[in-house]
Amino acid sequence: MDANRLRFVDALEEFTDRELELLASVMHVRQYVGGEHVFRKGDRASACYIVLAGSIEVVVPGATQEGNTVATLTAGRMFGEIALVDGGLRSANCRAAADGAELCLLGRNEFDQIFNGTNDFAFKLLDLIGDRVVENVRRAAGELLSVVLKERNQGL
Amino acid sequence: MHLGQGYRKVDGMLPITPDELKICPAFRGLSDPDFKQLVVCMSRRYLAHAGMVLFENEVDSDAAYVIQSGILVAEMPVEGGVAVEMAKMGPGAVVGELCLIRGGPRSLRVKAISEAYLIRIDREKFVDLRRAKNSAAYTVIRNICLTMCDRLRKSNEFIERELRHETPMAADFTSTSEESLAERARTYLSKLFGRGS
Repeated sequence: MDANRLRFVDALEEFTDRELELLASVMHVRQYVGGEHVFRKGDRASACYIVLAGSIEVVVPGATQEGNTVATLTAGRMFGEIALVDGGLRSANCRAAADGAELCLLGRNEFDQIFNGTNDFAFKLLDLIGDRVVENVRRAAGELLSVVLKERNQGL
Repeated sequence: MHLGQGYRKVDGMLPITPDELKICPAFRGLSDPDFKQLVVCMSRRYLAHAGMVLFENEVDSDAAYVIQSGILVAEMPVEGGVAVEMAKMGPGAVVGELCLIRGGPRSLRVKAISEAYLIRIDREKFVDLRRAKNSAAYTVIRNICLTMCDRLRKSNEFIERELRHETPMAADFTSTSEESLAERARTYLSKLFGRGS
């Protein structure tokens, strides 16, 4: 893929031109039509993604047939890296919100090589993954804290 | 100053050895030379009795702590000087390790409920190692990511099951059916923050 397409991605602003070229050389671009799934809950993870255009809905299948849309990811957002890090299965469905959604994919093998690497490029990706993990942990902790506080307030 | 009376930096005692840290997943896979590079970030801390505060909520994170002995609780202060207990952490747990990846304010107050011995990992010194592209520091970051992803997955499953779907508790062999939703949330908070052995 063309490295220029990665230059607008905020999460990659610390990457040099050379590193963006290196990253682009192992990534692939794919378009999706509206409603098409990028992956489904329970799938084995084969890649992580950055949204280049359009938007992706994160849907937790459950009580209703449509499922519960818990987030909408727009251009510049990275997703799907958690299951690559821990080797687990996908925890939600991700699908294109409308025609024209475009993603770049970093495959598992390439991700593993970089994640376990010991050069500056690998460390930058690790910084990026770390930031995403911290963001997710703090969000989950916030939700759990609010449950405890809500029950405590109801009990007063 | 959030450190209470009796909180002591324990210098001049035995040096910190690799064996003391190898029980923690965050230090998995590190060689003895790697430990020597990391030990510059570390010092010993001692909380002499129950009730001593390690750090307050909303203050900037300046360190992570490995619990060697004793039990610590994470709590949220609420109105009237009352605090709601959120999680318990014991030997082997690492408290506040996220700050080694990204700084920010503490979300909870952490205090001892017994005498406790800790190893403190200074955030600023650790960040210096990262800036220098120290491979041992990045092994720790990688390990924290691996551990956190696993805990995050379990916590998210609980949140989806209990909060978004509002369905009855599914089979969870770590909880009893008599526990309230808040008690189960506390269990997951303890897991998320690292309950230890």
